[in-house]
Amino acid sequence: MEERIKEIMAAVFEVAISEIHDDTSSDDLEKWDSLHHMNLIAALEEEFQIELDEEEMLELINFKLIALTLKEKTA
Amino acid sequence: MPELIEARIEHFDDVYGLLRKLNDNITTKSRWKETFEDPFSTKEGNAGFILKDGNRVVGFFGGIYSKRLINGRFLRFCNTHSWVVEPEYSTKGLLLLNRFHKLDNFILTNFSASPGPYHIMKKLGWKEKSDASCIVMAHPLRRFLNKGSKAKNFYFNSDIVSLLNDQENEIYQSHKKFRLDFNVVINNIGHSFQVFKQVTYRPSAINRILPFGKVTFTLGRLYYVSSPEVFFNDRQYNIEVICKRQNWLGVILPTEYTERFGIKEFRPYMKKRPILYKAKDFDDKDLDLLFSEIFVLDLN
Repeated sequence: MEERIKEIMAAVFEVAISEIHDDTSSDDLEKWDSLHHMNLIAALEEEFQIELDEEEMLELINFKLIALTLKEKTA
Repeated sequence: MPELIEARIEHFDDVYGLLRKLNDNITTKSRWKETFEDPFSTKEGNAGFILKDGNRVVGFFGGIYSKRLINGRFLRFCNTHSWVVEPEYSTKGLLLLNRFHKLDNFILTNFSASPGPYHIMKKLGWKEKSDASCIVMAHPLRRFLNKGSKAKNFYFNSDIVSLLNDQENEIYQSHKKFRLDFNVVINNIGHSFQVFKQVTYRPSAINRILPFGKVTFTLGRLYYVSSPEVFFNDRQYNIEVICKRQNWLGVILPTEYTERFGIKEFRPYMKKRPILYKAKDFDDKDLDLLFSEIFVLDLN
């Protein structure tokens, strides 16, 4: 799952997958703005067949939180 | 890490600099300042929220508050507008929107979202109401034929005050300082109060074939009508009288009225604005564009 999240993040933020690390956050990627953030949410929801509520959407601002939340949602 | 605080009048000059840089250069400073001066006298105490990094304002999302009497209920509205964030802080922009989401018991509205914010707001649960409108042109000949028959039933601007009910009077008193036209029509069914705003319209189909110059029409856009069945009962005549008085070539109406009252003589109005709202327990048939940036900032 973590590798797939990194692939999605790389695609949404238009960077190489090698630039997405376990500690990557919204401060590290130039393209991680509000609009790309929502694109990331939409891509994650589609890929993992989940629905995030509003609070969750706004909290997912780094890779660790994304991975943790998706693990809980898909468990 | 920038801090999120309420936007107050003392922040205006800094916010204005940001708006000039990132939003538009058309709206005057005094109009922007009005959005910071509690234009609808609610005493909410802020004009939206700002992101501040040290002494520097790096983000702003405006809010225009109002408290309205609608169908006997008092409802609190916040019209959000002008979401701007310095590019290097763009990841923090959602904090501003999220702060509005935390307002309790407010109906949030936004009538000017560009494609990016529109996408974000829809994803975060904002609903959309159609802004489909049409143009009904005035016909000077019909006005001539009707001359004198019903004009005594029209009242304009300050002459209307004694005719208004509480809900209508609240709208009139709150909006009379803006560049709007207020009318009351009375007929045997009842009375109807309307709020129109003059707008300029450039018909692209005509302008495309003109070898030089551009044509601009002046129209009146209907932003509010109480008892629409009264106004639309004598619609062609009423539209003629209003257009003659204001020198408008026609009026722009929401298509819900053309459908409801069987108006067939209209042409489509292509310019649309996104009408977004987020609220619990609110029917969008009660949603209009009054008490918003459209009037405070005098948008076309």
